[in-house]
Amino acid sequence: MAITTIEAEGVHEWRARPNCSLNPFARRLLIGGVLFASLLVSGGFLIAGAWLVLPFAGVELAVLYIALRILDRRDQSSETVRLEGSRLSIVSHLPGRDIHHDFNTGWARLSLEADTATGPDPLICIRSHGRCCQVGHLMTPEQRYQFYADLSRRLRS
Amino acid sequence: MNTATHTLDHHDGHGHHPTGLMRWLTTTNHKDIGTMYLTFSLLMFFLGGAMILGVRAELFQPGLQLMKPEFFNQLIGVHALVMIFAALMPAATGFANWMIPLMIGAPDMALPRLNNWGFWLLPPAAMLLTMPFILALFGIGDGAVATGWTLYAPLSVQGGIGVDFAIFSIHILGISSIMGSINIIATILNMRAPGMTLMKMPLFCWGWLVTAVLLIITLPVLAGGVTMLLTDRHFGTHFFNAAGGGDPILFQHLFWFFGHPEVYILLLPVWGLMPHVLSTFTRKPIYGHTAQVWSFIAIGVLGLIVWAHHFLTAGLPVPALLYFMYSTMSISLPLAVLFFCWIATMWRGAMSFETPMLFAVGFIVLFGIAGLTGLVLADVAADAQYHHSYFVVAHFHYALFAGGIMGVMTGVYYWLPKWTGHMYSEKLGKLHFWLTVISFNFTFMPQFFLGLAGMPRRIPDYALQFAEFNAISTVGAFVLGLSQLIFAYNVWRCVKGGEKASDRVWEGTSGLEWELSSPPPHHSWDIQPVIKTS
Repeated sequence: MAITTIEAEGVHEWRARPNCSLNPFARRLLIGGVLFASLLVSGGFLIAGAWLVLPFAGVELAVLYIALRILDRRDQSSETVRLEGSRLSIVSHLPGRDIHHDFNTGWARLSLEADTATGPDPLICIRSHGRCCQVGHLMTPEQRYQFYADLSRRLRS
Repeated sequence: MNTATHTLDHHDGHGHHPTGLMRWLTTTNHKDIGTMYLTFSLLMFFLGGAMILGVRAELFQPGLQLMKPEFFNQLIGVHALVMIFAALMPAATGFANWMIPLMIGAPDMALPRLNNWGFWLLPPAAMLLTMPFILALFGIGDGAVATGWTLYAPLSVQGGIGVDFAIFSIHILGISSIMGSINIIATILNMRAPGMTLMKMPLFCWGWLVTAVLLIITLPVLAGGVTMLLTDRHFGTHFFNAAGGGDPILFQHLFWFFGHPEVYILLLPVWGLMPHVLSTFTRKPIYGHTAQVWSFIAIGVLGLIVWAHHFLTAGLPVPALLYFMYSTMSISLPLAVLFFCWIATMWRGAMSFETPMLFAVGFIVLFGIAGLTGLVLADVAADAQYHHSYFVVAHFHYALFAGGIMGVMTGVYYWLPKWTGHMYSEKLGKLHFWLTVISFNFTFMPQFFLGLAGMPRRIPDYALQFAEFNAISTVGAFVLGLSQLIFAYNVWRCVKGGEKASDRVWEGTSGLEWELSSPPPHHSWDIQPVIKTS
C-alpha cells in the first residue's frame, strides 16, 4: 500500500492506494493468453470427441476472470484526505461505496477506533457534528498510526 | 509542490490473531495455511509410504505371501494418487503459501479466503480416496481404485466403487488446485513490491508462476476426462468403449495431457527453489537468473505438447511417434540449461554442506539420472522394450522422489529455521540425508536392472530370476521409509524449540524473506518494502 503525499501552498494531501503491480493492459493480456490456450486445448479435444473438457475450461476461466475483476475493483480503490485552510475533505473510493465528507478543521476530532469488520487494528475516525468518517482502509496498521500522528499534528497547528 | 512516497522499515507486527482450533479452521493468514498444507502433506507422505511398504513387503520374494493381487493393485494405485496429489502437490503449495508473499513483499495472498477454502478441500478429498479401503472391511464395495493412478479405460469403466471415489476425489483435488493456482497467479502478478519487476522476481516465484499456469491449462482436461469416465460407468455413454463407437486411447490422451505437465507441476517449484539454496551455501549470486526463467517457460510450453510419449506403444501412427519422440527429447535442452546454471552457481563458490545443501547436491545428481533415463524412454524403439517395465518405475521415482520429495526436503531444511525461529538438529539432518540417499539408491537402482531384464510393473508375483534385486529393493525401501521418521522427529523438535535462529539464518542468504524476523510476524510486511532499481 502506497501513500502519496502532496504539499502545495496551504494544501496538504494524502492519497492511499493499494499496491498493484499488474496494470490493466497486463491483466487483459493474462486473461487473453489463458483464454486462448484453454480454448485451443479444449477446442482440440472437442474435435476429438471429448466435448466435456470445454465446460470445465469455461467454468475455470470464469473463476479466473471473477478473481481478477475482484482485484481490479480493489486496485481502483483510493482514499484521499485533503487539508486546505480550514477545510478537511475526505474522498474514498472503496469497493461498493464512494464517500465524500467535508469537515471544518476547527471542529474535526480524530480518534483511533477498532472496527470488527476490518480486523483488529483500529481505523482513524474523523468526527464532527455527529458525523463520523473512517479513514485508513487502504493503509497498513503502521501507516495508519503514522498518518494519525501526522494529521493530528497538522490539525493542531 | 513535492511528492513523496513513504517507505519505512518493517516492524514486528501487532500480535492480534485468533488462537486455538478456530485459528486453523478459519485462518486466512498465508503462513497458517502454508503450515496446514505442509502438515497435511507430511501425514499423507507417511500414509502413501506405508502403502508402498506393504507392496514392497509382498515383492520381497516371489509368490503371493501377504495379500491378494486385487489388494496389491489397490495399494499401488492409491499410493501413487496419495503421493502425487496429497503429499507432493500440497507440499509445494505449502511452500508457495509460506514463501511467495514473504519473497515478493506482499502482506498476504491476493485472495486469502479462497486460500482457506482451497486447503480445507484437501482432507475430504484424501478421505474419499482412502475410504473404500475401510468400506471394504465392512463388506461395502470391493476396495479402493485398483487401476493404477492412470485410471485407464476400459479397466476403470469396469472397476468397482473405488473408481467412483477416486473420480470424485480427483475433482475435489482439482478444484483445490485451481483455487490455489488462481491465487498464486494473482498474488505474484499483482502484489509484488514496488520495484520488483518480473525479471527481478525470485526464481522460486517464477517456478510457481509457470506451475500455476500449467495447472490452469491442464486441469480442465483431467476433469473432463474423469467425468466422461464417470458417465461411461453410470450413464450409458461410450466415450471410451470401442464396442459403442468410443475410443479407449482417447482417455490416455486426456489423462496424459494433464499427467505429463503434472510432472513439471510437481518439479518446477523445486527447480525454482534450488538456485536459492545453491546460491546461499556457495555464497555466490545465482548464475543465469534470466536463462533459468526462460528455461522454466520453455519447459512449461514443451511440457504441454509431449504427452503421448507415455503411451508410445499404444499403436500411434508413425508420424505421431516421431513427433512425440523428438519433442520429448527437446525438453532436455532447457533442462540442460538449468543443470548448467545450477552447477555454474556452485562453481568456485565458498561451499559449505549444511543439510539443505546436501539435499540440493543429492537432488542434482539423482535427478540427473532421472533425466538421462527419461531420454532412453523417449526413444520410440527403446521404449518398445522398456514400456510398462520396472525401468519406468525406477525412472519416475528418480524424478519424483529424488527430484520432487528430496527437493521438498531441501526446502523444509532451508526454510524451517525461518518458519519456526529455531535451528533444527544438523546432526539428525545429515543422518537423514545419508540414510535417504543410500537407501533410495538401494531401492530404485535395482529396479532399473529389473526393468532391463524384463520384469513388468504392477505385478504381485514374478519369475525367480528377479528375486535378488527385488529383495535388495525391499530392504532399501524399508530403510528409506524408516529414515523419514528421523525427518519427522527433527521437524517436530525444531517446532518445539531449540537453538534460536537469527533473522538471516544462513550466511549467504539474499532476498526479502530474510529481512523479516525468524519466525516472521503474524502480519508480515506491514510496511511495503521497496526494491531499489540500482
